[in-house]
Amino acid sequence: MNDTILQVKDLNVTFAAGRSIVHAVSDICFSIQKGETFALVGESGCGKSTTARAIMRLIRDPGKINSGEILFEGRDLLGMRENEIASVRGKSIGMIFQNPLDSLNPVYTIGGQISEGLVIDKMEKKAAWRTAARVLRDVQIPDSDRRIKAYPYEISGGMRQRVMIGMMLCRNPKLLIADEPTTALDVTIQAGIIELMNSLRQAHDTSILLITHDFGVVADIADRVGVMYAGEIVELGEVFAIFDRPMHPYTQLLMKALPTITKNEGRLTTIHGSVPNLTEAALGCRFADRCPDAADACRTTHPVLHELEEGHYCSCLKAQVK
Amino acid sequence: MEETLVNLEHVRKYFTVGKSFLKRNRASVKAIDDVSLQIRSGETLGLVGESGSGKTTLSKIILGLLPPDSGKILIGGNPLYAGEKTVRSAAGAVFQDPASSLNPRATVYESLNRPLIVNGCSTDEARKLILEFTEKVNIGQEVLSRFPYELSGGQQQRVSIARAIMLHPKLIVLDEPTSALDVSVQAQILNVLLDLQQEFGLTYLFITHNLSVVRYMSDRICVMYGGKIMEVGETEEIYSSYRNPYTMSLLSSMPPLHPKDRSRKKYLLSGDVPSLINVGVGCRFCARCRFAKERCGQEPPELRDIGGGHLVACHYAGSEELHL
Amino acid sequence: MRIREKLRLILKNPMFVLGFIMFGLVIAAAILAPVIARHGYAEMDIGKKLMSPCGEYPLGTDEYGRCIFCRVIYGSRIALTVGLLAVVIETVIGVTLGILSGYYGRKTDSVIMFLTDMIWSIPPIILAMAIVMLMGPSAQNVAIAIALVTWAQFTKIVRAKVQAMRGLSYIEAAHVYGERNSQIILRYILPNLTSTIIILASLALPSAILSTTSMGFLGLGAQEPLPDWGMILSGGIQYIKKASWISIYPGLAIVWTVLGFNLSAEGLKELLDPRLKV
Repeated sequence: MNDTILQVKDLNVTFAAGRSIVHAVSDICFSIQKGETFALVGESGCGKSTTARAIMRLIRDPGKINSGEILFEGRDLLGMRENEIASVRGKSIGMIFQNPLDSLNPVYTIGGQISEGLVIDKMEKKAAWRTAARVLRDVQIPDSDRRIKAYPYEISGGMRQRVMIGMMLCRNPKLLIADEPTTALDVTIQAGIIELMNSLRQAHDTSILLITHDFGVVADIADRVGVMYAGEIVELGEVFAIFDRPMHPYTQLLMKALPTITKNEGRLTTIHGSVPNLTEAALGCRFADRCPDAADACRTTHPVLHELEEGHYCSCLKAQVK
Repeated sequence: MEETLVNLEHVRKYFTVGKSFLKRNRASVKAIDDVSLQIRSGETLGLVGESGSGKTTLSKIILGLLPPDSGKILIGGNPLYAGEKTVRSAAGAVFQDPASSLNPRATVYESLNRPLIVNGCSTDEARKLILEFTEKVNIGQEVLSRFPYELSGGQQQRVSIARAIMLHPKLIVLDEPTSALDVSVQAQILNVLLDLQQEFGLTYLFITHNLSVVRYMSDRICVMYGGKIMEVGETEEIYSSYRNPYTMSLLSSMPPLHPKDRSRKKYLLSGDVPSLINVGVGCRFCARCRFAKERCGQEPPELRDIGGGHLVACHYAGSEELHL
Repeated sequence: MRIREKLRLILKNPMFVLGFIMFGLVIAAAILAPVIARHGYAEMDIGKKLMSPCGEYPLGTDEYGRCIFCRVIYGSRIALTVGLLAVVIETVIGVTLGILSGYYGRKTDSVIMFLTDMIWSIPPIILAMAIVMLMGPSAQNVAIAIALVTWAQFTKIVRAKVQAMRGLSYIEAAHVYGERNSQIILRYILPNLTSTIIILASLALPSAILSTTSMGFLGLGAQEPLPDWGMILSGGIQYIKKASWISIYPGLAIVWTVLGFNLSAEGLKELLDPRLKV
């Protein structure tokens, strides 16, 4: 499809840890269309952040991208040389991180950092500075004429995140990768950031890859969702389908573990056991030890994503049987 | 019959900023300003607020860690502070970061043993209590000889809970106990907390910014902003019939439970978190309140009871002029 | 159990093993000096003066016919005891003040920091010289002088660490369940400072040894005929062309000792950290 901005095929990322190897991401496949928001959701250690970094080729020793393809507008990002990928980063693919204090350079002014990217894009310095001022207004930073000369530590976390978003979006990237963009923020600030991301996306038709553990944020802006567990995508589909008809036992249990009720209505469902050790290669389904429905076949056959209804994929063997 | 366990009356705590040898001309951060609150025995009071709301400072005051500048604090009818000194603290505490809640150089057993010994238990009594409570929080005996770094976040937090509860305190203050945990682990912890509360008749002050969690766990909710209480009431009453504009903003900012709710009306706040140094005369929220009128900037609103234990601090709460 | 397993792991680190052996030999030399050295360190034989290394005098002799080898071996005792003495005094003063300053804050902090900054701003050699000249030149006095001059860096670093620790939840929890301040310092703060203290001490020991040898070079250390390495080195400078061995070997001994200690200190730190996963 010509509208596919990003296509990830059979991506494998490992980390060396002493003598063993941790399979952080195993054979994942997904694609993102133009203008859509795709959410990769899962708990800690599932590999979602690693995937985001792999796309930006930010995986360093002891991590390694072992195999797979990452096609951005048809070009394979994994085959590029370092200077080629550097020109893609920031310009065509933007990334915002969880903790905005760490992502902004503390010794440069906000205006300086925003205009830096524009100057790299061959904009003249004065024009870049004017654009930076406009960006601050677009992301609704109050008192922007004064704040443009401010340093990161002088503004709040919510504002820093807005600056990051502005910085990334002013270069009109086709894809924005947002890694837990609202986790460190207050609820009211979070709502503002999500609204901002939505409106800017609509204005520029930017695609968003959203990495999060928060199903609320997914429900708020995602178009399609990939649920990750132990380095694999176990379920993939449109957001309404995932919320209305979760098919994988992990997705189902996870949704029941969310506090959507009051305590008088019952206890939350828990998932017993813990995340498997990713240093061992997967024999059967990685969720089998914790799955209430696990059969013998689940422990010996490694399940793969199958399309169970239109656009809705699940890798559970039992779900495929039904 | 519900008796009041914790009673705060007109508590105030300011922090001075900057170093100067002259006591005057020093700006002060008005972290808590004229806060009055009651916590009933056996209930879970959810304390909700964002950065700068004062909830962390309030929790430290209630825990006996920070004497207030003025106001009364009674726990079980007894004053918590005598001047600058803390009279025996009657609370237990569970903190946000599981990893830094336990001494990295002590085994789990030693971390659980120490509070008991400090409070007069003999070695044998302590051992019995430790074995009993670790079972209640689903920590196996093999974990007792391990160090904190060997435990998962969920396990560390359960050890903290056992430590807090073992001394049978009257009140447990939980400061964002599940914010650093995964969803599935959070569910385990919340279940454990509820089971323990039922078994021992505990009273919880549950501080969090997660609105789904606070709705699940709390009997009553208290909303704070800029060092003051905005609204207090039964949980469902607050969620369905809030009367304070800040509460309205807060609840509408909550991420939806289902994508079909994503187009709900959101009352977003412009501007930034309030400065606690340059505090105006009137309501703390008026600078960002869409319903603010002249009176709001001149006169601070009192916390009034509008019926059924529902307290609101807003001049126009329940009036025709406020379209919530 | 854990210690045994960690020891096995550490012994696999070649740097640590090398350092351990090197430093171990220095300690062995200090202990077994009377056995290893054939002559006393003060034993003179003018007839045999300025002899180059040979069978009887493996490292040659100095201008008084004293065996350099024996003097270097016995000198290890001075270097080690003075170095260790300096480090112990320095650590005790520096860590104590750092903990008090960082934990109690406010006035205590202001006073201690003022004192620290004052000491910090005086050139160490000058201050040390002044102290030794006041107390009289000897190995112990050099150790004390060095310690009194260098504790400031311990204090600053320990203070910063303690300030960071003060806000951690397990310290707050301890306050909540009733621990007194003295207990909190002894049971919670101090054990969590051991890594830092070892690192600081391991930096301080070679620096102390070097300082004592500098002081010896200036004639302020152990007096003749005690075989202070620095003294031997400085005394041999005038003979550097004719009898270079007089200065070279004590110099090498200094380098050997400092290097050995530094290599093994890293391993020691890892041994004591419970976070090292086996």
